[in-house]
Amino acid sequence: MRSRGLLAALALLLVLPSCGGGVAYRGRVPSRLMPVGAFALPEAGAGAPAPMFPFRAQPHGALLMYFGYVSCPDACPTTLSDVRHVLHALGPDSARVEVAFATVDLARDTPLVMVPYLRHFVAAGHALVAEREEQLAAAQVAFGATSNVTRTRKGEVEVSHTGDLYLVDPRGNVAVVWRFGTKRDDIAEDLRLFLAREAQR
Amino acid sequence: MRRAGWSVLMAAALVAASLGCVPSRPAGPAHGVRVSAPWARPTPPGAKASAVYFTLESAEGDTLSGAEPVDSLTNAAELHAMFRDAKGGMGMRALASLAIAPHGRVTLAPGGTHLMLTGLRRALVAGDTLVLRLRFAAAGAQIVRVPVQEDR
Repeated sequence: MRSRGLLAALALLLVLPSCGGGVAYRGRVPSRLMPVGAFALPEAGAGAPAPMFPFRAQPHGALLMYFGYVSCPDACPTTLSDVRHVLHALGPDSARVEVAFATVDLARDTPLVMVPYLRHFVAAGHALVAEREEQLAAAQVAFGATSNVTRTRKGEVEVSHTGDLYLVDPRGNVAVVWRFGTKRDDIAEDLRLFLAREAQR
Repeated sequence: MRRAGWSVLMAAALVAASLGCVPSRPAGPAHGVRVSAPWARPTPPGAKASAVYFTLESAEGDTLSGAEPVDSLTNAAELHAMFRDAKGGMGMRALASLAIAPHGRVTLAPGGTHLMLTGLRRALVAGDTLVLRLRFAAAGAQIVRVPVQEDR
């Protein structure tokens, strides 16, 4: 009798950690509030003059934000290709997910270049092109992102940039940060979890 | 009866040879590098750069010392490695060469080492085939056909 009670208590102990403790995302949850909703960048291909696109998801939705550039041979197409797969994996729920891609290479990535580039991966994506370096820098600081465009002695342009993918919630806060190289299944799983929680708010 | 005995012996010898004594590497010359699973992603409109991925294996060990396009779709191919800094920034750095250890395997894959293509003359579409010449220090030049396909 007594041992049965002990067993039950043990079983409870085993079960509790998995249901308590809140939500476990596979990506990184910012340790401090990361408000980005007050920032915005001009959206290319959405009319003239370019309307400002604020970093805030639709109600009950999600916004995926990435900083990259068109001449990027590997990291940016890899991330955008992953995003496309993730949206496909979400099925009908993907309608609640918006995607924004901001260029860090303002000298080369004009609106004319950026719009068809992003649409290749995500047809309804938002291509963001800052009008000035300071405008881009302000947005990057909000996300904790950096980038550096330099020209080598051979005249080649070299770009380094933060390769994180950000999940922004409808209140304009970064909810999850996925480091470059996060598996697309993990991103999809986090998004499902996030959307399920947002649906209940 | 005697003949049957001989053929059994011969067969046994052949099996023994194929298991142990004869190199079992099916493709490539004896002193060579095996290049497998090459691919490149279709490119978005406007992109002037792309990347080629493949796996290299060598029994003796070798060094990939250079590559150039043989077709007219691109201008140049250059070995690149990904680097990351402490702040989460990352970029690409040119590699002079890429070593394959004896009995080693080196995989070029998205998000890591890749062969960067520059000067794309047009967008790469699924079904295209790129032709590259890879130059190895020991094995010499090897022509590789690279299918353009969506990643799985």
